[in-house]
Amino acid sequence: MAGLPRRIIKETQRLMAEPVSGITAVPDEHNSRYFHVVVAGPSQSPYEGGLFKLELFLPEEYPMSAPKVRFMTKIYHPNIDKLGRICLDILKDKWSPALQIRTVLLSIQALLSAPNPDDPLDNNVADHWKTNEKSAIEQARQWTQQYAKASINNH
Amino acid sequence: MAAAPEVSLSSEHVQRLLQCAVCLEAFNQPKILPCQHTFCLSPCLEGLVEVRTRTLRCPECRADHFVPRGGPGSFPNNLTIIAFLELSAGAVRREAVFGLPEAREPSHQSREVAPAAGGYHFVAEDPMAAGGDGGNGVFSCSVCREERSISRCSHCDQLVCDECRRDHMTQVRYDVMRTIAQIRRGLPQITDQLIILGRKEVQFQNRCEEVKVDISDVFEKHVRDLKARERALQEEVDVFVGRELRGLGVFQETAQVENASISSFCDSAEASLSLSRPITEGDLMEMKRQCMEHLETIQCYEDGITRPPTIKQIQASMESPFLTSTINNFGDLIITSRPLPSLETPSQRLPSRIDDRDLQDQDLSPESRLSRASVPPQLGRPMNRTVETIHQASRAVSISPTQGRRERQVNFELDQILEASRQPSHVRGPNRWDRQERRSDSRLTGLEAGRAPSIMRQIRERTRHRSLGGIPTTRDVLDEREESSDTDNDLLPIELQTELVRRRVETEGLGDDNERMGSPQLEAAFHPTPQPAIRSYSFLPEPLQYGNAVTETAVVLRSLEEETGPQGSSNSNTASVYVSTPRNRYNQKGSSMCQFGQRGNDLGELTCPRGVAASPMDDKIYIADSNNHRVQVFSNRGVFVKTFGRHGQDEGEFDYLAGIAVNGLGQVIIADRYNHRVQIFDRNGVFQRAFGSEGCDPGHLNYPWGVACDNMGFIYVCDKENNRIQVFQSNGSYVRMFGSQGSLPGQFVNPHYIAVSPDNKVYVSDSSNHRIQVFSLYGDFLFSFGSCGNLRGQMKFPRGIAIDHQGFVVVADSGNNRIQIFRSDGRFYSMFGSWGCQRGHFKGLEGIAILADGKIVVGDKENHCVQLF
Repeated sequence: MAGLPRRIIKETQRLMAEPVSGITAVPDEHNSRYFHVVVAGPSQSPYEGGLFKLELFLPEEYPMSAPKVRFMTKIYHPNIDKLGRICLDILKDKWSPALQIRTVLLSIQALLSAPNPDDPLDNNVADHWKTNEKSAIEQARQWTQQYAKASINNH
Repeated sequence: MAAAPEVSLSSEHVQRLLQCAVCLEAFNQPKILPCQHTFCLSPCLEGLVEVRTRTLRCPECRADHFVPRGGPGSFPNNLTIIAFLELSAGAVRREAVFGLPEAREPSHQSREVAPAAGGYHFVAEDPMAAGGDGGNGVFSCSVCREERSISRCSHCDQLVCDECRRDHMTQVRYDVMRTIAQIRRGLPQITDQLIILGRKEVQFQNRCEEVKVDISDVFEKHVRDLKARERALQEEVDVFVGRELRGLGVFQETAQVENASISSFCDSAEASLSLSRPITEGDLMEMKRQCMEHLETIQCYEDGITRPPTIKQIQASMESPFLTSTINNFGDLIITSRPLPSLETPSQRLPSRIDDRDLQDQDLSPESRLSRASVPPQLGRPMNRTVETIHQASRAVSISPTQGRRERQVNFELDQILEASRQPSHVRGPNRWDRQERRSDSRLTGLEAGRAPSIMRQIRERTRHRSLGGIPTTRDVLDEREESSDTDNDLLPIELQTELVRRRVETEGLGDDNERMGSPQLEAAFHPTPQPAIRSYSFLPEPLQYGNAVTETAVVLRSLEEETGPQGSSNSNTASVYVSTPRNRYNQKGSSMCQFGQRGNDLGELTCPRGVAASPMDDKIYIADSNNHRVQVFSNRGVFVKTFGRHGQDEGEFDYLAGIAVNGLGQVIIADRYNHRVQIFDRNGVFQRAFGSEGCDPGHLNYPWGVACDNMGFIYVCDKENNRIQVFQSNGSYVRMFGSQGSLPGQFVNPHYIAVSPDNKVYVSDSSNHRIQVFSLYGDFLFSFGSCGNLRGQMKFPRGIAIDHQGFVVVADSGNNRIQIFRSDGRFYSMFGSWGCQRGHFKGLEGIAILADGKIVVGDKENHCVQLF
């Protein structure tokens, strides 16, 4: 924890002390700025039942700049590309230092509930979503079954 | 004393409210933003300021606020929160220590109440109480409020009880340990720095050693040169003495013979007369006649008509403040703080061919001026030096004895050898021109040129007059010349003199002295003021009379004649025209001797080469590889040597560079076109400085294109879009500018390339006006040549321009895809080239340069190659 800003320490402590339902974030034992995150797929969404692994890294400038978050688990989502990168405004230009790890992860969870194919990162998925939402949702569900279960088992 | 509402204040809820959303700590200097959100001043708000726009986005609501002039500290304090913080401070502290909320009193209250209410009397003479703040006697522990044995904490200067003090000290102890650990982690940085420092020290020492070696090399070389010069001078003296003695010997013999014959005549005549033998009348008459003859001879001796050749005075003229000062100031150490820079050694700054005697015949890059002036030259000084040099040069020949004998230049002064000879003759001449131009800037050169011959005639006549008297001394003539040049602004091209003197030195090596003894005409022709000799034919030697050496000179003179025409130079309106046949055989050029480069961005490949330059230091070819944003260097045979630069806006990076020039120090000057600046690199390609930025004010540039350097180191830049020429010192400071948009004389439309001639005239390719304009160094318009068309001497969009050491102007006539060569006064001389992509063909002519051996380097941006002719 050497040289770690007090804000990160506090956030970490609070994440441990008051976990958010459906989200766990555990700092890496070697790097306190790196978090192993698991987000549960929200209910009423095609991701329901899946447990999605993410990685979250707090850059040197944090909280003045946004954390870097990426899905490790394959997910079929118009705002998440196949490398796991997430198209979410608060991770980019809408970042505010008043946001925290907790709020970021909650936003990501919300993104899973409400895909936004009009602001896509993965155009193929977004097209699929727009042209045939039903089939896309089915696909997402299938992927969740296929990947989001296994990954946790491996974990 | 317990108060119920205060307990709830210290609850976690309230604490959270008193926490900054950014640092998650209790507010520290809470500032309230116009959106009513509150944050700590430092580091939270300070870290949020967008410096460029001086705005700040509220982390809570993302509202943008303008940051007041005094920074975020000028936002109002959130007084409510401050009050709350003060309220809760005590409670929080107590909680921290004892884990339970205590009845709390605001500190100010306790101060007033405690002494009165408490029956506990602290020892009044307690030094701590006495030394306490105000000494108002706070006798309870400031943490737990218990009245126990109180002492002052030396760490935070508060009165605390022993128990609290112990806790506090433990905390402090941890703090200190943490700090120590932190320091320990920081230590390696210092060690790293030490290692780097050590490495740099070694580098620096090595570098200094190199510099020392360089310095001693240069000095050894000069000492060798001086020694050689010494030997040469001594040999000259020996030769001179030998010849003089021979001359005296001849006279002595003659006199002895005459003496003997006269006395024997006297003896025999007396004898025959005293012998009272009858003497025939005829014999007597004969004797009488002989007597008269001998009397006449003796009379001649008496009157000094016959007399021994004067014993010529010889002395070594070594006094030379110039040399001394040169030696004293010779060499400079350039010390910069730049990390990888050239600690330029003196050797780098000297012309590499100082001692090369042959160079007198070759192109001499005018570098010595530059080499002595690491500081940009001041205007006045070089001129004075020049005058001095000329004067000394004239003194140099002053010893030469005359009287009908072949003279010898016994004492070229050392500094002339060191200074003048390493300078090209035409540098000295033109500097005089500068002076004259400066003095009478508005005068027409033609007028002055017209005046010159008359002065020459005067001098010539005076010389002739003296020669009747027997001893015309060169010195007199020269002095008069100096005078007249000072008073009359005469325009004798010194280069002629020097050239002829030089010729003479050459011929002397070939010829036999005796062969030419007693030839006053030749004498005159070789007179150190050869100008009259050239201009007046009576002084010319008959070409074939005097052997090879003479013939050679005669050829030179005749070629000059051809140039100036039978009427002499009076019809020449540009006085600097002094050569007719270029040493570079331009009329034989036309086939490409060498072609290199092809489209690409690998080493040695070119994409749209624009400016080209020949380095006077090492005869390398520098090419502005424009679309690859780099400079490439090739040998004079077209072999790739090195490259530097890349795309960008930083130091040493280019954006479509165009013009390029190399000055006498080997510095590379580059017009970084799209960055609107000029960059200077040392000869190793290490960035030195940049100047200029986009704009149209003086010193600002707008798509600078061609660059050139004069021999004093000034940098001339074609400020293309501003339609003007700007002049900078070599350190980049702005000097002057000239030109404006238009087609009148002195105006430009897209001036592209620029060159400075050996006689210090500035030639500008005024591209869209289809002409070349010529200016003085100070921007006075002199003349222009060329018009739109494809006939000889006409041009379309002339681009690159280069001038050889004789003053011939080579122009890249890009619209006609040909190279044209003009005399320095703008008269057409020859041309070659046509459209195409084969060798010898052009498509997009750009820069031009001339190598030391006279080859023309031509950059072709459409064929992506460079050709040599």
